[in-house]
Amino acid sequence: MPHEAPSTIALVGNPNAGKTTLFNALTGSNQQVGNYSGVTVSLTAGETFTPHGKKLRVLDLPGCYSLRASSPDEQVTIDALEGRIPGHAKPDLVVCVADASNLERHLSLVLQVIERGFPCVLALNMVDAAEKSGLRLDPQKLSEELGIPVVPIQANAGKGIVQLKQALRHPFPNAAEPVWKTPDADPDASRQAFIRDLCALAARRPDVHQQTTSDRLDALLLHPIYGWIIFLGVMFVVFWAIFSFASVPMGWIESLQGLLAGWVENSMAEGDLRSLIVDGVIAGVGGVIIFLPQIILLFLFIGLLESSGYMARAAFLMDGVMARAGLSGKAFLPLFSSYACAIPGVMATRTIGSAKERLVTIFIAPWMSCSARLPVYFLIVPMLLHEQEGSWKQALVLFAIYALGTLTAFLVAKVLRKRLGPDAGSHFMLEMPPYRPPQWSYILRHVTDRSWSFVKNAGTLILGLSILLWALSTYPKHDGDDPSEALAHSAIGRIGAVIEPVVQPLGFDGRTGTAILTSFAAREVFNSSMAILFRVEETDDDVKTRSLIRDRVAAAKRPDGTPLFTPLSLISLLVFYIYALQCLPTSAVVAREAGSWKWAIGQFLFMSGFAYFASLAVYQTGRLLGF
Amino acid sequence: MSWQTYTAIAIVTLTLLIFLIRFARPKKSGHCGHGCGCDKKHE
Repeated sequence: MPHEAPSTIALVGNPNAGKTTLFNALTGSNQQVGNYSGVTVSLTAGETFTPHGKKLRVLDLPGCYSLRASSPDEQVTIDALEGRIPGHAKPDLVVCVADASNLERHLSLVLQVIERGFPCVLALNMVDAAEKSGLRLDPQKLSEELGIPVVPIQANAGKGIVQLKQALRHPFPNAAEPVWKTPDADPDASRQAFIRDLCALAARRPDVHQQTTSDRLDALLLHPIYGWIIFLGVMFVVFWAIFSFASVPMGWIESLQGLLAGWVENSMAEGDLRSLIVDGVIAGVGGVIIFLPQIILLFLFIGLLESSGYMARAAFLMDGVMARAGLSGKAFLPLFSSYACAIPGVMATRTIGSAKERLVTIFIAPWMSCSARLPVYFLIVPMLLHEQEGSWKQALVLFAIYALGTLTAFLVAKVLRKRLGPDAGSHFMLEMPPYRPPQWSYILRHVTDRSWSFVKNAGTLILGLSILLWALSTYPKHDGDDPSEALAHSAIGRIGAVIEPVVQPLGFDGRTGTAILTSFAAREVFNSSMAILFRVEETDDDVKTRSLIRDRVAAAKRPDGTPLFTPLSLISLLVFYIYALQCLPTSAVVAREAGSWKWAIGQFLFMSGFAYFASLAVYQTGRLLGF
Repeated sequence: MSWQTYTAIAIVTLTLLIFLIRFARPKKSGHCGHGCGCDKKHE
């Protein structure tokens, strides 16, 4: 029996219509979803089965408002529908996904898909929310008027999925006739008139002036004054909670690390292997893993804000601020994503239609402090303030760090936008989703994915670099007993001596310079390097103290006996990490998205140079002022 | 040299080899490399 290729169906719809949620429900996948537009910027494929066991290939396409190709992600959708994407067949059927409570807006794209002659099924998503808001839906009438099957669904709860799969059975429905099209009339006007009449028949609102809970909340959360106060308050509470709630599990990890190191020391005779395990592996990997609770909390809060619908409001508030930097509100979501990781942030710039604005957004995205910088901040901020000063002060410093990176990014964006010159204006249209209870299953999956990635990185890249760094700080061996002399004699000691003149004007010694150098592969390696390089400062046998890199680093002295890290040198170090671009995968993605390595290399050189000179200016100005 | 030194040097050499092999291996393009947990594998 000849093997029959599975039919291809494509999920098409406006941003935030729930396409990816439906894709996950159909295919059992775990693609990222969010209660804001622009989460999907590239094509994703999966497989599902009809009730009769026939295999179907499902394409999840980026959300778009029209089929005019005004931005790179809309172009992806059109190319996929026309079968122009290598490796993906032209869809045999298009499933239009529409938010039932916003049918007036979402139907325009459905009509455009029908006009292009695609066989089509309409999945009416979020019918629960629509009916709760008082909308009286008549799917039967919609189906009759549009000439296509209409299936009410609630993708996040898996409701209506079986009925939708029934509609995906062979033979697929024929392409419908676009009855609204008239030869002389403007196509947009014809569609709007048809949609108005259709909604009056099949999606009636009992009272057009009725205020929903979301409307009432928006009156407060989007208020020009109270909205900003709440926004800043929410951000501050997130940072405060990260510092205060994480301290207990961090203490457990520290104790565990100390116990493990103590157990190895008691079980093994003194030697290189024991040193490698205790001072290289446990100290190096532990120096990064200890910050896992804070990373988990950060992603939990980001997930909560996204899922509840508040993130779209934050984007709306920020639109005015973005305009001052020469950017539109469209740049907010890519930039906000960059706080988690610059890579999805850079990829999310595909939603920006203007090429110049997109390049500028890509250029500044790595200055949004990503989660990889957090371990470094969490190491330095408590040293700067002393732990007993309270979580709220640490949260305030962290808030200032994020604000500094963001403000500098906006200033550079403004300069760049002026240099690149004006372009055809791009319109910012943001889907304002209704407020919803958090979708815990997706939030927890998102948190687990990110946290596992962090742990995996610690178990592979950080582990490997810790072993190599231990070797560089141990060999060639020195005959004497003085650990400082042994370190100076080692390879890393010699590298540090070469680097020291370069980093000394910033307030650092050769060891810190070496740790910075190693962190150009990945920022969090800085902590491992510091833990390994400062092991010679260990003076007592207390198991718990040995595990705390912060204690070791804080106790480090210069050759003249003065403390190595003063508040000024710590601020200088923070400034360096706010600005330096130390992430090779980000540079690779920038080169791909910008279409040239020149942009990636230019960005790396600019940001590294900026970090160096900003840190230099901070330290030298501070010294002149007597700090 | 003690057995501990031999073992430590062997582990360091093996780590270095793994790094060199990974560095020399051709990279797959089209995604971020999944290093940051930002997405799942895209087809």
